[in-house]
Amino acid sequence: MDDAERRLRWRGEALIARASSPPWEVVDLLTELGYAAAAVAGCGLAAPDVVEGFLVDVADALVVRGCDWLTPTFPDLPNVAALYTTVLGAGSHALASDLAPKTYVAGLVGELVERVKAEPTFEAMVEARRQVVVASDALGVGDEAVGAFDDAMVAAGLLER
Amino acid sequence: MSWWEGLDPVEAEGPAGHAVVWRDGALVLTAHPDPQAEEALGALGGERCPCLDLLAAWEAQHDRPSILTVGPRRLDEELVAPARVTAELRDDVNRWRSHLAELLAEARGRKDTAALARLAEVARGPERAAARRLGFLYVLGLPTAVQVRLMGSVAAALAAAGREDELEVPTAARGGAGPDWLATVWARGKG
Repeated sequence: MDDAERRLRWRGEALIARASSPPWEVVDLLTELGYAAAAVAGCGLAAPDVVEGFLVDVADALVVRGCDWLTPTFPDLPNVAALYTTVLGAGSHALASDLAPKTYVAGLVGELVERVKAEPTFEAMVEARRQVVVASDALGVGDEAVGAFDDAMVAAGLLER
Repeated sequence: MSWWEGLDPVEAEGPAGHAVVWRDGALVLTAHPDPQAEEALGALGGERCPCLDLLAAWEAQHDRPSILTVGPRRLDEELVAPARVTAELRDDVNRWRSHLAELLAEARGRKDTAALARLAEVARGPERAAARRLGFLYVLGLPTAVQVRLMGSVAAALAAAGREDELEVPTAARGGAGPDWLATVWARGKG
């Protein structure tokens, strides 16, 4: 098992341990788990079906620990996997090509920058930045990509230095 | 020596109120001595007890790490499969089954073997997927004493398949150490 997959599994553990937190916090952590999962699968460090199965298991673990509200949010559990697939789509350029993590994150930054430029709102920028932060952390590549994202936002006039 | 030797049987109530017993490393439905025959009857549209869904889900999961991810982290932790979620899934499964049974009966009446084969191919997949999800919730509704033994089974199966690395995080998350801890310590109700 690659270290990145191990970290992903520990991230899932941390989320399950917080199952009794307020729903918004659980959803936030679940979203970040989706971002991390997409990054790990996106550069071939774990098989996509293994990662998807793990996400569904984590969602099940939350549901049987009192997060029964999770099902209205995600009308059925496989939709948690759909979240992951959507996120995975953001890094689809890297799928199946076994890119080095740094190359993957750089590609992700490029894609997210374009997406934010197309929808230049503060919320979209914050969410994209969070995805870069989580992907960098999940892959253990430092915060170089986060700096590149911020630079691109400054260059686009969406963020002030 | 098998990992479960010396472990007492544990009995619990299944989803239909029937007894579910774990003994000698296996999950047994005492009210259903021939589950395969009942499965066959169910496939023909006969009434089907939810215990069979529980057993089918367990058999599909016994060498997969899902229950290690979902199952209890502490020996005093009891998980609760929400009644509403279970009821919704059960309604889904029942809808699939009754619709499928009607179509099968119609195709059988017309001796349309091609339609029968096509129905089996197209409709059985979603019905089984929904039934597996429902059955897994039933497994998660079993008492912790049963679940830790089931987790021991999965751990032993993964270790036998050379997949010990998949045991690292689930073992550490429960405060254990070593690839055989889940089967030899946790499954015995010691943590």
